[in-house]
This record gives sequence, structure tokens and C-alpha cells, in this order.
Amino acid sequence: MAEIIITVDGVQITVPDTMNVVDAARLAATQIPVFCYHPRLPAVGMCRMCMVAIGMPRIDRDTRQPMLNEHGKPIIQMFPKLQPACTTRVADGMVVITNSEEVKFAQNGVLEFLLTSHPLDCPVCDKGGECPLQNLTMEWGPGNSRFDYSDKVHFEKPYKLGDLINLDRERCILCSRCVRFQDDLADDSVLGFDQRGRKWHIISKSDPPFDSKFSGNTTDICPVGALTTSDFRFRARAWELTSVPSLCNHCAVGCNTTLDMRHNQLQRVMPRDNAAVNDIWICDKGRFGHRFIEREHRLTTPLVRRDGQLQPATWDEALDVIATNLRAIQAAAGGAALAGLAGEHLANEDLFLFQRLFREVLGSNNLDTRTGVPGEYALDDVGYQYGVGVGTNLMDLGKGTAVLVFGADPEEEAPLYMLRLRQIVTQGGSLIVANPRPTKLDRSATQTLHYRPDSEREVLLALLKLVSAETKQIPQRTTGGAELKGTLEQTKLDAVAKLSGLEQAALAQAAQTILAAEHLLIVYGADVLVHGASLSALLANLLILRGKVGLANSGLIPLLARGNSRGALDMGVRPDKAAGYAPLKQAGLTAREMWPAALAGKLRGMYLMGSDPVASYAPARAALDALAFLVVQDTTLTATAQLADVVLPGTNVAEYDATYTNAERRVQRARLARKVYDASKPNWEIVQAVAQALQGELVLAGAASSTTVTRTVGGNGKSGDGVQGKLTLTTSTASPVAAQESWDYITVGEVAADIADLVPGYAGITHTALAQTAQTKEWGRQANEDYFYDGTSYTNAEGVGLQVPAGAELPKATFDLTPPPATKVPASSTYPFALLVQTLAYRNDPFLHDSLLQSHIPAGYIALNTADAAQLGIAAGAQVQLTSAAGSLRGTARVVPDLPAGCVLVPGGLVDLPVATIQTGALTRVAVSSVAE
Amino acid sequence: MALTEHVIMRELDVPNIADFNVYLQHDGYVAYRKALTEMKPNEIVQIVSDAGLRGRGGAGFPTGRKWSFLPRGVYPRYLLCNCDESEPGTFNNHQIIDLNPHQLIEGVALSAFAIEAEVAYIYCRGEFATAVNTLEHAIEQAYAAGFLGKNILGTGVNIDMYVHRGAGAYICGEETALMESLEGKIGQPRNKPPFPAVEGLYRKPTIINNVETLANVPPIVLKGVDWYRSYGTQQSPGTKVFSLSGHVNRPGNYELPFGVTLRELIYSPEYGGGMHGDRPVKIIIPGGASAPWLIDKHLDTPLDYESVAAAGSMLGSGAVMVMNDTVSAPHLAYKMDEFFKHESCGKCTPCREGTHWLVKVLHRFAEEGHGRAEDIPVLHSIYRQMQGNCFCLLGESAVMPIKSALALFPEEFEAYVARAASNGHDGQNGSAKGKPVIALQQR
Amino acid sequence: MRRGGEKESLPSRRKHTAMLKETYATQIESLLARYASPRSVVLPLLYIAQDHYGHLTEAVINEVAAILDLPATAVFEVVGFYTLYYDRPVGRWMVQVCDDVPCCYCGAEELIDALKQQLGISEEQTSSDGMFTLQRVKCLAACQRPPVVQANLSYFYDVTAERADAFIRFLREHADTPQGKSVSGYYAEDYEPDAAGNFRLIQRRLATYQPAAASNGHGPTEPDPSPPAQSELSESSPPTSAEGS
Ligand SMILES: Cc1cc2nc3c(=O)[nH]c(=O)nc-3n(C[C@H](O)[C@H](O)[C@H](O)COP(=O)(O)O)c2cc1C
Ligand code: SF4
Ligand code: FES
Repeated sequence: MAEIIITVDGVQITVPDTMNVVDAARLAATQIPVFCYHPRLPAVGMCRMCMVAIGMPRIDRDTRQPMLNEHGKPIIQMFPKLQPACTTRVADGMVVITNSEEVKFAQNGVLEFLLTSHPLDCPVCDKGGECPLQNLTMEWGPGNSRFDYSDKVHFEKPYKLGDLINLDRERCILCSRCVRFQDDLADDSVLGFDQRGRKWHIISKSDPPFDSKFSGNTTDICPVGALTTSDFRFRARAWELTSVPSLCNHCAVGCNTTLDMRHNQLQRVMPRDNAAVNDIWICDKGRFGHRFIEREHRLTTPLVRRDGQLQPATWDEALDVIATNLRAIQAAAGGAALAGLAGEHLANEDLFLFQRLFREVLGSNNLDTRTGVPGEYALDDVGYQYGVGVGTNLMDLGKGTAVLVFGADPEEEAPLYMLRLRQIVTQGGSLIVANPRPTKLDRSATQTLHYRPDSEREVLLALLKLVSAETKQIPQRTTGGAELKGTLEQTKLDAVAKLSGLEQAALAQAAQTILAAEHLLIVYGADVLVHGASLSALLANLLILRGKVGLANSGLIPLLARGNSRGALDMGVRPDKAAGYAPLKQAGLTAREMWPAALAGKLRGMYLMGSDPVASYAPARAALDALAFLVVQDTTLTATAQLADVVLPGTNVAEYDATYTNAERRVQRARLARKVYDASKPNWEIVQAVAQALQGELVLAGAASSTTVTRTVGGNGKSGDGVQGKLTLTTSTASPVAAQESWDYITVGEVAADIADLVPGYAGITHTALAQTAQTKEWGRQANEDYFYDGTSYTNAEGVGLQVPAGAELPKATFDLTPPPATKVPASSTYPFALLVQTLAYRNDPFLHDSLLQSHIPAGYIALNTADAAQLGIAAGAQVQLTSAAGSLRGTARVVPDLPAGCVLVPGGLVDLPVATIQTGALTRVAVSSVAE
Repeated sequence: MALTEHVIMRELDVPNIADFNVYLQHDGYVAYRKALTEMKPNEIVQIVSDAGLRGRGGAGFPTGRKWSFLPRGVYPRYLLCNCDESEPGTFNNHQIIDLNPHQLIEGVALSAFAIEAEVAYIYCRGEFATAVNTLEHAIEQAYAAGFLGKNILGTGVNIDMYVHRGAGAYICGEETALMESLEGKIGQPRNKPPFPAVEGLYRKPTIINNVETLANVPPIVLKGVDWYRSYGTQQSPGTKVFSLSGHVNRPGNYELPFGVTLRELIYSPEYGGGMHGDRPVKIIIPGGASAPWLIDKHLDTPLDYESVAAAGSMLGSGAVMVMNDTVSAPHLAYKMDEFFKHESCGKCTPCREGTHWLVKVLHRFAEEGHGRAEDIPVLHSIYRQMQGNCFCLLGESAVMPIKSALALFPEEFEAYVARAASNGHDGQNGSAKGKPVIALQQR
Repeated sequence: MRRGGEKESLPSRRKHTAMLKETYATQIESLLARYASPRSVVLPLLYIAQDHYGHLTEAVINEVAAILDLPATAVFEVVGFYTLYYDRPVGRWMVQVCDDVPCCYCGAEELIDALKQQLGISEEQTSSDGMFTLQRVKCLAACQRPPVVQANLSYFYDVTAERADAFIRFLREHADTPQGKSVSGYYAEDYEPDAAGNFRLIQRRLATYQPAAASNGHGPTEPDPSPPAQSELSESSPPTSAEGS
């Protein structure tokens, strides 16, 4: 990319030679109107709005030098016709004229033409007020038109393109931005044009219509009100909205959003530009899946169980009951009798205080974000240790970058990553997609590897063997090299090929791609996360061998479950490590261990914050029933909350200001968008209040006031064996209360400041620092962007986040190559099939309640390979039964050709087919049988 | 100026030349055989350049020069033969296929060899179902005779040839739209650059030429540059098959050397045979619908690229449409723009909207028989809003009829306005007061 | 393209009985072999589908998309863009009259009026017996013999209004020929009026094609077991004089 000089309306500017004239002119603060051009899409030059006069220096044929006039200036030769600025690339010496009569006539003319077909129904159009057609008409439009207005294009008004998007064909100006977005960026070619000429119009003939997880973005980039969302339809006028910066918490991407509010109500969710995270896009889950913010049946006040019933109570009452009971248990059985679970969608501030409460006040390490359901993700430390380095920006990656996607389906698990990875390929990068089954990302891949289920470890060892053979020198500060060497020596490529079903040549090709990469990104998802370090450490080994650890634009990206899964691990809401991955002398109970401990009476009290184990894991119910005391903090009366002794009304992402850490360890800040419901409080405040109440209890106790607590709740079958005991706390030996004094946060920013002080890696990440916006490549970089791309995305003026260094980036970090032991679940003749559980974007997730996406949640099915189905005599649509060591499950068969033989695929997280009930662990083996009708 | 032998319409010299055996007996595939066995591809490019062969598809671009734009060493390459022939008044490609198909096939094969393409497609408009049948049949014969396929004549050269049928869209004659169509998409033009020679079909280097252009190649290679240049003019060498239609006594295709005058073509008893009923010539469209109109005073214009351009029009596809004085200029403009409106692909605003509004306003004049005074400046404005601003030449072509009509016959538009006024017509939305006079030619 | 073996199996307007993929397996195969991208087969395959089913319903278009593994929308686009694909039922004969310059000045309007009268329908309508659909079309590249009409893409030259009667009669009589059955024009031929004003085949010479010699494995067409009318011509019939000049 070279810098060249061009002249725009007499102003000379220096611009990169890769730019088109529209973008370059805007750098000179000159606005060339556009409709079909959009900076994120390849220019097509269809609308002809951007016509300008362009000239080039006349070149002397002999000398190849510009010819000069008598003043020594280059002679400029203008093109005989106006040129479209969007498809014309700048060139050195180019002269652009945007304000001549000729140019104005042409631009006027195009606008007049567009308006003659357009219905001009702005007063009832959702786009009104943020409509590029309106904006440009003000500036460039003809005063009036001389055409008959009786000949507009007529179509049946709103026409549903699926249940999320409405199309008003009369308003469409045929710029094809939506079609190109779907084809080029989203890779869902579900939009197209029917007819031709003036009858040309948009259609979608996919089944269901507009079948894409990115459909909402087309409503942003539509320069008129032709595409609007059903979600926002007629809700508000654009100018009445207050836009609050926020984040989407549905998945680990952590897309930047704005919540558009009116009257304390969420009207719509829009993307907020962040080049490093979501660019200017969000997926439909992020856009339409936020109606939970204003769910009906929100908790508005604390509830305390009295006479077996949960009844409204004051905060003082509720906190008093909590403090009394938790202390009582602690006094009687020690901190080890208490446990806490917290949701991974909660903010860092919430989680940090939660673990402080347990570790410092209650003296317990029994903490987890999981619920113990078999097949759930293991704690992902490898993804922190070898995560992508600080300064990573996917936007910049292309040629020279290799991405290995392993055991992941980004479209479902973290949709926006699918767009980002496709962009890397578009920009010249390589993409290897390795999965047991095909995923949509395969279509964009430069190489796909479909290995047999349960051969992951061998495949990775083979890749390591091939890569290490080419590795002259193992990087410094590395341990475990000998162990790895030993394992690799035992790895035989032909045996791996046989086991995995992959050609040796394919493995070699993948290794070559990895070896050739300047930047090496490894994305892994559900299939790896369930196995924990046993697979992810091998992925990390690839990075270590290649010397790609701790560097910007290289490293691991784990597709963790939720928006703040990484933050929860960082904050130490886990039994085995404190905040910042500090090792603990004595690990606490994992969620999975808590349930038997509760049943055995060893665990007596629990505090669950934003965690609903009963919904995801039925056996939790009995264990919770067995507890002496249960506190649940949530926004609604969940199945778990219904079992509680005290229920505390918490908040969701819109209702407080807090920070979240995404898969790439980027800490980002969401702002307070709406007032809380009645008496509910920000989650972190509640945790602090509990801590303070406990401290008060401590003080009281210290004043020799002792209280006897009996668990009186319990009717309806609850085992209310109760805890009895004297609280005679006089010293602080029961809990390390070193931080006692610090339970006096007034603002959430102070909690963040404590995190910055106390959690390694978070140094400097304060709320103030997070509000800063980097200047490069951001959406609002050019003059008057909104004019042209109004309604597209919000310029990010409120902070693009800060990345926490990966473990490997810390000064004394060492890199461990030791291969973890294999964890195999061999197939048996009883259970010959491997069960693949698919993570779906649209599943029965409480956060999708009340959203339009409910109808996109598929009915459960059991997918079988064609040959297997034939052998078992199972036809598509028949009932089949899966049986595992844990139980059995019935569902409808789907027969698909591209699933590997010997496995069944079942979507997870669906209520009509609760596959968790038959899972036995990371890999479940099952028997398949047909059910007689 | 009559030719004693024809370069293209050899059916006039050799009866039944459509018969493969007859074709073979009359120099058929001699040039091709010679090229494959004795010549290098670039020698043929050179000969074609030297002969000064110019593209017959409309632009008259030198064929050898076009071929030389192919980037070196990039394969595969494709040759496309453009037989979308849909421009009103143009029907010579159609006849070449009907009556002398083997010469076209030889020309395509020879040109494919010259540009080192191993696959050539002949893109025929969908309506040419009979021509497609003829071509496929003839191609099969060429395969059977060993002129196509793998290792042709033992030379190691491979050339496959297929006919691809469009499905009713004039825009697919535009070279990039044709490629889109061949790729199975809707036929809308692509941005240029990249030009087809660099990135064409399937994003590979591609040469696209008209049927008549490629049919010229075998005789040029066989008989040489000097022979070829003995016809036509210095700048426009060779012959051209003119498609003569309209109010002439003998409409049809006439192969004549470039430089023949319009008068000779129209009036010579061997060709047009004069105007029907001896009525005067009023309007001549010398190069298909896209060409600006000429009038009787241009009758002595020689039909070569330069002279027709000097007269203010273009030779285009060589379709000469002649209208007598019964045709009203607004009506002719209306019919022509109705064509362009019908064929506008919809991709760009000025063409999509402009053709619509032109037809809308012209309809008042041409079909309803009255216009409004304010419509005349509107018509001027619409074509100016289109001119120079369209994505491809279809939209630019649509400007020509109305621009010509307004420039050459302003009084006819004014007459309609006056008539509407004298009939007490407010010009708003009343019904037609009788159609304008449209001549019906008696046959 | 002459699709030999298909002729018998082409009683058009068949309902969704057969699957295209199986019925036309060899043809689809050979079409696929012609192009670097399967998408290029969309247009030819739509013609086949159109003849097989009579017109292109949503189900048919989806079937074509599935065969070529394309997004359905991409095939719908093509059907909508090109005028020779019919997404609605059409008559056995698709009668397409050129109303462009120069035909319109040489009797096309009068012919259209006559046809409308004869058939009792107007443009874009189908006669109640399902025999004819009337359409105006743009230049058919045969301007030397106006007015020009295509019926199932067979050319009919010099169809003046007075010959409308003979023209319609001809079509009715030939409704059950391959020409009448293939609305996509696979068996299209060219016709002109004779001295008596009756339409007859224009005989052109292409003959002397030996199927045996053609079996050298090249892809596109199968040997034609029953060569259509055109190649059955007598060796001596000359090209029609009006074709030349
Ligand atoms: C709207 C439009 C329609 C065209 N139609 C045809 C056509 O039917 N046949 C043709 O040969 N060229 C047609 N052309 C010209 C082609 O784009 C191209 O220039 C030509 O095929 C090149 O061949 P040549 O160099 O042999 O002339 C058309 C161009 C435009 C803009
Ligand atoms: S000028 Fe524009 S709308 Fe017209 S055919 Fe060309 S691209 Fe299509
Ligand atoms: S043509 Fe340049 S913005 Fe549309």
C-alpha cells in the first residue's frame, strides 16, 4: 500500500492507493453521496449516485512523465464521462471534481429517479429520521419532480421475509446492499431479485424464508426503510430514542451493542462499532434475543420463606435471615459446608465480590459457575494461558494468517466469529476447519478435516508430530519437551490416518499451513471444551512449537459458553483457583461434587447467583432440597429460586454499569440503560449487602449476642432437618476476613478498581480507561459518516475495551508441552455409537424467552448417518431410542448423508429432547434402536 | 460494388454449404488444419491483426488487438462466441448459423486455437432454438470428423465446443452480462475493470467475439491479409453483412464491402431494391437500435465505421433500418425505448428509471396522440439524466432514439402538443384522441 | 439440443411424477461435464424441467436448486429474470409475436389484433382450451420477413394478419408433434407460408450426419435414434430463396 496524492475539489490530500474515490474524498472532508456503496461491502457501482468528474495527468508517451503546462503544472485530462466514485480507485495525481454543475445535475437526476419510484411514506416508516435517502434528498435532491406521481412502483405493503424481517418492496431502491451482505459476508445466499428492470424486487426463497443468523444486519445497511425488523416495527421514532452502550452477553464474542431506550423501555438493540470484536455487525440473537431485559414476572422485591411460602420482605429482613443462617452453618460446620454457584453471564464486579464473599467472609472455596450436568464445559485455563495476545485485531488479519478451527461450529456457538473468520479468508488468510461433522464454516474453509469422533487426540498428536518434525528449535522457557517427544514417537501417522479417517496427505497439508503461518489462530469450541485441557493443551502445543505464544494476532480463542465465561474464570469463581488463576492450597467442591455432598449432609447452605441448576440438571433438585439453607439471587422466580429460603431480586445487563470479559479476554463495559425494577438491586450491590450483613452478624456475634437458627422452612417434602447450633463467634479464625474493611464500595467503579488492583492482568483496566475509544479503523472515522450510513451502526464513542494479557504474556511465564493423559471412553458392543451433542444458537435458553427467536428453536431430533440408518432399519421421521449407561431418550430420526458413520447427533439444550439426561460425561456412548410405532 | 465471391455468405456462391460434406469440399477446415499443423497460435493473432478484422458485435474493436490483451501464461482461457443477437433490426448472425454454420464453427475453433483456449462456448439467445439445434448438429459433425475434442488431428491440441442457450434477455449480449448468464446467474453486467481478457468467465481470461467476427477468421487465415484487405476501406477492411429492414422493397442480409453507401444498399435493385411504394426515406437507423438516427440527407454516407461516425451515428451491428415518411418520429422513439425499457436489467438507476419514464412520457405522444408542452423539456431532461451515467451501454443506447427524435424532428413533438391544445385536451389524463399515423406496409 | 432418447418420454405437462435427477441423469451428467461450475447448468436444466413439467412451479424450481446444490433463491432469480421461463401455466403453444421495430411498422400490430380476435384472448392470456398463450415480444432477429412470430420457439415468417387463420390452423394441427409439446423449443423448426398461404417447413440442408461416427465419447448429446424432421430432408432440396437475398 503506497501513499499517493490526489486533489479533491482543489484540496490536495495524501491517501493510501488502495482507496476508492468516495472514501478518499471523505478524508478530505468532501462528501460524495452514495447509496449502493457501503464501506464494508465490495463496491458495485449500481445506483449511480456517486458520479463525479475525474481527471488524470496527461502522460507523455515517450518520457512516461506527466506533461506540464506553461505554469509547470501537470496537464489534466478529464474522462469524457462522469465516473462512479465508489468503483474508481484513486491513482497518483488524480483530480476529482464533485461540485460542478455537470456533477450536480447527474446526482440530482439519480435522486429524482429514485424518488419517482419511492412511496415517500416517511411518516409511517421506521427508518424515518435515520434514513440515508431522506438525508441525501435534503442535500442533493431536486426541489421537486416533474414526473407524474401516479406511477410509483406498487407492491403489496409489508411483506414478511421470515418472521424477523419485513420487506417493503415499494421503498426499496434496489441498491442490493442486503443481497450482497448475505452473499458475501454472511454466506447465506437467501436473498435475491425477482424479475428485472423496474419490476425488479427482492425475494427470499429459502426455507424458512430469510434463513440466516445475521438477517438483522440487512435492516441496518438498508439505506431506506425497505427492510425493517418485526422486533422494532412501529415501536418508536428514531429521534425519540436514547442510545445506551451495552454488550451482548449471549456468547463469548461479546458484541458491542447499543440499547435504544425510550421511557425506560428497551425499543431495540443495535450494533455498536468495534473493529476488534464485532466490526459493525451483530447476530440475530444479539439483536432480537434481548427481550429478557423487560420480561414479565420480574422479581421486584426480596422474598423470604415464611410458613413454607415465599413472601415479600424488606431488604433488611432478607439480609438478616441470610446472615443469620449462613453464619449459623458456618459456625456449626465450617465454611466447607457452604457453597456458591454463579452464572457466567454476570459481570466481573458481581463475580469478583461473590468469590470474595465466599473466600474471605464465609471461608469456603466451594465455588463454581457450572451446574454439574454431564457433558458441560470443563474449566478452560489453557485458553487463558495461551489465548490470543494483547493487540489482536481480527480485522487486520488476512494474508499470512492461518486459522485452525477445531471441534467448533462457530455459526452456532459464537455466530459473529463466523463472519470474522470468513473475513480473514476473504482477505487472503487460510482457514482449516476440523470437526467430526460438516459445519457451515466448511464452505469458507481452505481445508476441511472431518475426523472420526474420539480421534481428536490422535489427530492433534499427528499434527504436532508433523509440525515438530519441521521445528528446529523449541522456544525458550519451555518445559515438558521430552514428554511430548516421547508421546509423538509413539504416534504413528498411518495409524492415526486409519483411526481418524483422514488422509495422511491432508494432515500434512494442514501441518504445512500451520508451519507457513505468520499469525496462527486456533479456535476451539464445544467438542474440545467438554474435554478440558486434554485436548486444548495439545492445541496450545501447536502454538508453543511454532513460537506463537503471547503474541498479538496469534493464540487460542475458546468459544466459551457465555458473554462473561472468561471473566468468571478470571475472577476465580471456581473451586480450584483464586482470582487471577492463583493456585489454592485446598480446592473446594466442584458443582458436580456439590450435589452428593448436599445429599450427604456435608454441604448445608448455598448461595446461587444467576444460576438455575434445576432447569439444566434435574438431579440438582433433590440436593437443593436437602440443604439447610438456600439463597437464590436472580431476575425471575426460576425453578431453582422456587426452592429457596430467600430470593433476592437482581438485575440484568441493562440495569447496571459493569464490565465483562470476552473470549479474547477483552474487558468491555456496558452502561446502565434502564431503571431497576422496584426494589431490585445491581447484583454486585446485593453481594456486598450480604457481606456487610454477615460482617454485622460478626460484629453482633462479637458482642456476644448469639442466635439459634432452625431451618423452619421445608414443608412440601423438603427435608428440613435443619441446622441447630450456637453461634459463638468471637474471633475471625473461622474466616480470613482480611478484607473486611473493604466491603464499603460506593460505586461499581470502585469494585472495578479493586479488580484492577487485585486480579493479575487486570491492572489499569478501570471504568475510565474502558470508556476510551481507539481512533483507528473505527466506524466514525470519516466526515459525516452518519449521513450516508445512517441507521447502520452506532459509532463507538464509549469505549472499545481493553485486553487482559494472556498467561503466556506474563514476564516469567513458562510454556508446558507435556501432553495431558488421554481420557478415552471406548465404544462397547452394548453402546456402539458416539453421541455428538450439538450446541445450537437457538435453544431453550431463558434469555431467549419473550423474543421472536422462540419460534426459531428447532424441535429435537436424532440425526443418523444414511448407512447406519439403513442398517438399523430406521427411516427419516421414525421414532428412535438412544440408550446410554445413564438412561434412555426417544426422539424423531433425521437421516443425513454427511454425518460420519458410527455416531448420532442430537442438539443440546432443547426441552423436548433433554439429551443431558443420557450424557455420561465428555463423550457418551449410546445404543440406537428403532421404536415400534 | 457487388461481390464476386462472399467471405461470409458463401451459401450464395456454393449451394448447400451448410452440408458438412459440401463445406469440406469447398475449403472447409483447410485453414484450421493448416493452423493446427503448421502455425503457432500467435501467428494467427498476428494475421488477424494485420488483416484489420474489426469486431462485428457493435463496437468495431480490432479483434487481433483484443486477443493480444490476454495476460501471458494464465490458463485456462475461454473463448466465447456471442450469438445473443437481440438488437432490433439485427439478424445476420441468425442467418450465418442457418445457412453457413460450419464456417462459424471452424472460425470458433480456429480462434480458440489462436488464443490457446481449450473450451469455447457459443452463447445463443434463447429464442434461437432452431439455430441451437443446427449448431449442435454441426458441432457433432465436427467432433465426428476429429476437428474437435482431445488431441485434434494428432497435434496435441484440445478444443471443446459447446452451445449455451440463453433464455430471453437482450442484456446478455453485453459481454460481462453474457458471462454472468453463462455462469448460471441473472444476466447483469459486471464492473469493468477487470476486463474479460483478464478476468472473464469463471474469473479466467476470456475473449468474447461476435458470430460474424469469428466467421471471418477462416477465410482470412486461408486467403491471407492482402486478399482480405482488398475489400473495404483502409480503416474498415473486409466485408460486412448488412441486415437491411424496414420500408424497403427487399429486406434481407447483404454482404458488401465496407464503404458501400447507404443509397446503394437501399436503392440498388440487387439489394434493397428501393423504398416501398417509392415513398421517401425519412429515418435511417444504420447500426441497430442503439445507433443515432440519420435522415435522407445522409444517404450518401459510406457504410464504414469512420464515415458513419462522421455522419453522427455509428455502424454498430450493421443493422440498417429504413423508415419512410409514414412513421412518426415520436412513435419510433417510443417503440425503440419500449424495447430498452423491456430489456433494462434493473441494475442501475438511470436506465431502470429513465427508460420507464421515457416510455411513460412518450406514450402520451405516440400512442395517445397528445403531449403536454412541459413534457418536451422533461424528455430532454430524462435523457440527459441518463446519458453518461448508466452502468452499461444498454442504458446509454436508450438515450439515442429520443435524443435523435428531439434533435431531428422537434416540430413533430410540438405538433402533438398543439393538436392536444386545439382539441381542448388538457394533456392530463384524458383518453387517446386517435392514434398517430402508423404506416402499414403492404406485402 | 436434440435429446434423442427423451422424445418418447416427453409427453409434456406431466405432473410431478418423475424426479428430474433420475429421468435425465445422463443428460445432467453430460451438462455438468461442460462447465467449470455446476451453477452453469441452471439455464439448461430449467429448460429440461420446464418441458418435463409444463411450467416451473415453486416445487420444480426447488428441485432444480437441489439437483445443483444451489440456494433456492438463486434459481428463482434466474426464472424471474429471463423471459423464456414460465412460472405460470401456459398454453401448449406459446405464441410470441414480435411487436418491435421494424415488425411493428410491417403489420405486427394488425397481426396481434387478428390473433386476439381469433383466439378470443388478449396478451398474456391463455385460450380456454389451453392451446394458446399469446405474448408480445421484442425483436426476434428475423426482421427481413415481418411480421415474425414464434410458437414454442419455432419461427413463422411473413405472418401477416390475413395469414393469422392459416397460422392458427397449422398450430392446432401440429399440437401433438414434438414441436407442440416442447414449450422450451427443443424441436423447434422454421416455417414460412407457401404460395397458397399455408405454412410449411423451411428445408435447410445439414444432413449427412452419421451417428456411428459420432460415438467418439464427446459429451453433450446422445446419439439420436430418431432424427427429427430436419435431417430427413431430401438431399436435393435447396435452401429457400427468401432466406438469402
Ligand atoms: C446491451 C448490449 C447488447 C449487446 N448485444 C450483442 C449481441 O447480441 N451480439 C454481439 O455480438 N455483441 C453484442 N454486444 C456487444 C458485446 O458486448 C461485445 O462488445 C461483442 O460481442 C464483442 O464482439 P466483437 O469484438 O466481435 O464485436 C452488446 C453490447 C451491449 C452493451
Ligand atoms: S444500463 Fe443499467 S439497468 Fe440498464 S442494462 Fe445496463 S446496468 Fe442494467
Ligand atoms: S454507484 Fe457509487 S454509490 Fe452507488
